[in-house]
Amino acid sequence: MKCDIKEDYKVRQGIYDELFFEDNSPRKTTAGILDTLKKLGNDEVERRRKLLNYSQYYQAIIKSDNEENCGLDSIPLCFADEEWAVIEKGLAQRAKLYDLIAKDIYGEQNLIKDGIIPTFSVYANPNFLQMLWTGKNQEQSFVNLMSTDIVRRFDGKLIAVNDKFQIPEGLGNALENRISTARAYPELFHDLYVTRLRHFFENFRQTTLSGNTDSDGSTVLLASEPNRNRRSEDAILARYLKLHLVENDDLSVRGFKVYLKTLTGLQKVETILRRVEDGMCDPLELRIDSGEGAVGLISAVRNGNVKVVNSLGTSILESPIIRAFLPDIAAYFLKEDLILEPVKTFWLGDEKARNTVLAEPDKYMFYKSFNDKFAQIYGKMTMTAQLALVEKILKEPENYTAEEYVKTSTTPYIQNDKYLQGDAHFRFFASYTQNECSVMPGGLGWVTDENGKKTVDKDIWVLTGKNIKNLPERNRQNEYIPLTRAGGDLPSRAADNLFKLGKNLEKAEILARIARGISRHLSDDCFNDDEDQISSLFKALDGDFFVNNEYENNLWNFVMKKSEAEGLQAVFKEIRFIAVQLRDRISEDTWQFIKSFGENSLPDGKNAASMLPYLQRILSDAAAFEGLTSEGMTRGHGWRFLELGRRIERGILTLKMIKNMLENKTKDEVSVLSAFLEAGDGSLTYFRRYGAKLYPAPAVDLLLCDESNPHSVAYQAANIEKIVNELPKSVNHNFFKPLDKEILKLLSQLRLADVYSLMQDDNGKRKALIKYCSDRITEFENISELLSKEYLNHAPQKSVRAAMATEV
Amino acid sequence: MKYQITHETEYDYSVPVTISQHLIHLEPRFCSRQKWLEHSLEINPKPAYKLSRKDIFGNVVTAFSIEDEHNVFKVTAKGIAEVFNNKMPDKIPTCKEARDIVKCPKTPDDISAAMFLYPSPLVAYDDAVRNYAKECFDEEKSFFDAVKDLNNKIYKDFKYSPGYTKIGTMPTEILRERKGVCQDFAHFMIACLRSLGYSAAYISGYLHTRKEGEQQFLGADATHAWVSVYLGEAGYFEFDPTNDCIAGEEHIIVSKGRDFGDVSPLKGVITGGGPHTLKVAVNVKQID
Repeated sequence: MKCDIKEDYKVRQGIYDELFFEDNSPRKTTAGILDTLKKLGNDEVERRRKLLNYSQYYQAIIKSDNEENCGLDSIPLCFADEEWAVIEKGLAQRAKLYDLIAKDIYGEQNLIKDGIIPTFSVYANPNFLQMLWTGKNQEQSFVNLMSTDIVRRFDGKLIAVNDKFQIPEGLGNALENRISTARAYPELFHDLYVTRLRHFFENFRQTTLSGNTDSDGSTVLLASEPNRNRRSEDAILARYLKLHLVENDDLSVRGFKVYLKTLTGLQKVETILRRVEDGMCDPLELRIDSGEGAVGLISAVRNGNVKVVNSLGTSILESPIIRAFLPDIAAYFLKEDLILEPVKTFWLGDEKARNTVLAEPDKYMFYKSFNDKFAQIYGKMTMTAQLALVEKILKEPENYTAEEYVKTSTTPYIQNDKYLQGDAHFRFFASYTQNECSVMPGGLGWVTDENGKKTVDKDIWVLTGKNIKNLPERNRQNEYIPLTRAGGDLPSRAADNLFKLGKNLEKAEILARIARGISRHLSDDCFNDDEDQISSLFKALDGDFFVNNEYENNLWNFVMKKSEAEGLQAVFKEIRFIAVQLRDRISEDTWQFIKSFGENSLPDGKNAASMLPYLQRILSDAAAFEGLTSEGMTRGHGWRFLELGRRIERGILTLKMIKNMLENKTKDEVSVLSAFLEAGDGSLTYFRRYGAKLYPAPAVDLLLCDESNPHSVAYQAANIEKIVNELPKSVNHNFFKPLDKEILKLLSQLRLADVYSLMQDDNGKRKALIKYCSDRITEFENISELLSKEYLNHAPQKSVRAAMATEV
Repeated sequence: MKYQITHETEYDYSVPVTISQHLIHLEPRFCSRQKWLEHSLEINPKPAYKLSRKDIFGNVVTAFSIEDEHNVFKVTAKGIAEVFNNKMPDKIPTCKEARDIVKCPKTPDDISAAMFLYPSPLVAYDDAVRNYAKECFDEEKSFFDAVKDLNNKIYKDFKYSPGYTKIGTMPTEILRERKGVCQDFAHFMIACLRSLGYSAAYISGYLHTRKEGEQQFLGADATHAWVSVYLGEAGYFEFDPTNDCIAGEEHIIVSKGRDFGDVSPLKGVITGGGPHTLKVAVNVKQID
């Protein structure tokens, strides 16, 4: 890549550029960066740029299909001293102001009584949660965490566009961007004294997220549903802030208090950092279909038993109609002008404002008064759409709010090895507690192209010009911390996910091993002799992949086809899906590993030979991962559930393999048995023990009943028993619980098995073996079910009584 | 008139409920034309936690949770109320005045009336609703007469047919079908009034059925719903579109809200439960 930006990039006349002056000379903050990049040289910059995107959140393992992300740009947007001071003060003022608005709306409502805002803005506003109204201005802050979007007008003036309070999105994204740039350009960070973010997050955790009264409760992050786009950001934040990531089902409200369901029982929750919209937080008092919150949460909040960050009810602050009155409200509450110039906003219910706006509609974008999600930019609409919009506005003017369309500053960004010019956007974050505001020294920057489409992210750097040492950690030496060993505070859902992860990892390994066997035989010369062997291996896959005799095609479908519900890729997809949900509690190494599991050494052709290295790689990766977990994971309950998942899955799949491959006694069983031993990873042991000749009974014994063979069914059962004994026991039951009984049954059956009689056949059919295997499979499945019931599903299916009403 | 009221609601679950959380609007609100001489609430099984508060509309809301496993859940509200007729207002605004009072509110009462001025979750409306109502109103006409005409028009045009609609049937649909129950007619009338810029509130309560030989009221011995409009200085005045009358000493008020959703007598979220049977019994007995 050519990186001499000065040649490629020309500033547009009359429009402020973030990096350059109008004469194309670099701004003060830019010069240092460009110098360093030049010193590094083209090749090195390109190498770093790849590094930048490698560690990035866009590489997150669920790639959202609808959003095209071009990743993170190499050149950050910078703010220096004086301007940064304005942003800090501006955000602090807005946080304070919005907090006052929320306190007033849910309290005395003086803004309405004194005519500062129209009754319509609150009473008609679906974001006003009337059940939270108390009549008195409460002391505790409504606003705890805020994001403010800012643009720079073409003339260089900063304009505050909007603020978010429910879920300030992009905070985790900004954090990841920073981690990436800091890794890719350590020398820039050092030379330019870029202010670090760590202190902001520490402060946020220690003040805003700390509870009110007693300190025995925990702090959790209430995540959005797993399939939401922002879920990976939830995980990033939970991980960085060291919070339990929980979902609605993990929480239970008892006695107006919120509890987290853990393996050992209920644990009190003090503070909830929520990543769920207002309306979705409590099916009892809010939307009855709200799936993401906890039943009774509002009662708990009302009783002061839990702190929700941000407070419920803050969505009203995001309504465009409120923004229209912001300067008036600032004058009313603070007797001040807004430090950051607000974007000009008009509520069209007001006749004068309406006339102003409709005289020059081109200058505006239009919002529904209560919904800030969707804006219509008049100047970019078709004539018909414009007419329709004006007609709607004239009919129901109060439902519309107009915001001045700001022509923003430009910035260069790199795409396809070229410097392009785009519009710059900034999002800043601030936390606010007891009148103290702390602004994150950085933020999320992004660039839009001429069509308004988002292109790349940019990190935002605050340059102070001096070396501020990171503030010292609070002195905790004298604090008394009770010691604890890998405890029972593992949320049930996390345990459940680890359980599923274990199952799927094991499944991937076993299926890959069978597929490798097939692909080896197919790529062998003497393949024609081995027809039996190959078809029996296909049977071991236990799916519908043996459709016809086009073996190679069948194999490819099984291994690579993403649309298949059964194949290997489906397993990888499931693994990634679970991993995202576990992002907050798996180590960085594990995460990097899972991200690329099944994506390495992808085959370059459809034939069996080219699939071989791919399958080989999956197997060695799986072995590496097993090492990683057995070396790196504490033997806590988390590890136990991962292990249980693995053991159960291997038990079931091995039994299916035995059943499917050996159900029929064929004339010459040698090739089938050889395939069988290979699929079960038992060939070496067999040949060492019995020599070269293959007999069915010893082969089955090795994979079924031999407790010393880690791949045998009996080994799995024995280990399950061992691990289950280490799980927390709920109540003092002196008798065997169903789970213990089921394990005992399975284990005894495996120990009592008479392999020779199982291998007897009746006209070529091994009925005893089939029944034996099916019974054991059922037992494994029962164990899995009982484990879930006992430890993982603390939340049985909810049935919601909508309105239990009796009107005539 | 003095009444003794008993309101029983009982759920029989086929599968035990392990935990349930409820919200009830069964305790009567304060209001000028009626006095509650006594009132009690009995909940079975006994709630683990219970808390009452006043909501923004002035109703008493009680939240409680039952944390013991149970198969039967029963709530009994009992009370004695003395109820008077709506006093005929001495100063009646014209339609235009009634609209302006809430549009540019001056007194705290005007402002709180504005809570009932806009669409709410169960009261949405469109041009069809507005056109239906329009003919009853005229800028200089007495607002009281206009609402009375609307009340009568709805009574004549709509058929009372239980079981046809459900909670959440929108006024726009009720207008198309022209049938429903008291809740629907109240919602529809509120939609008509709000669509034209007037404040209108939803009242839930009970209706006393007259003694034998006299005209039977619809919604006899059951919960009932009607409409309250704001007349400015003269306060609120209630109309019952289901029975084409001014709500009076037969109408016993429990709660007031923007629509049914704000004042639903009993709602809850339960864990477990399965299919259930529901028994509701309302008894309104005149005691002097």
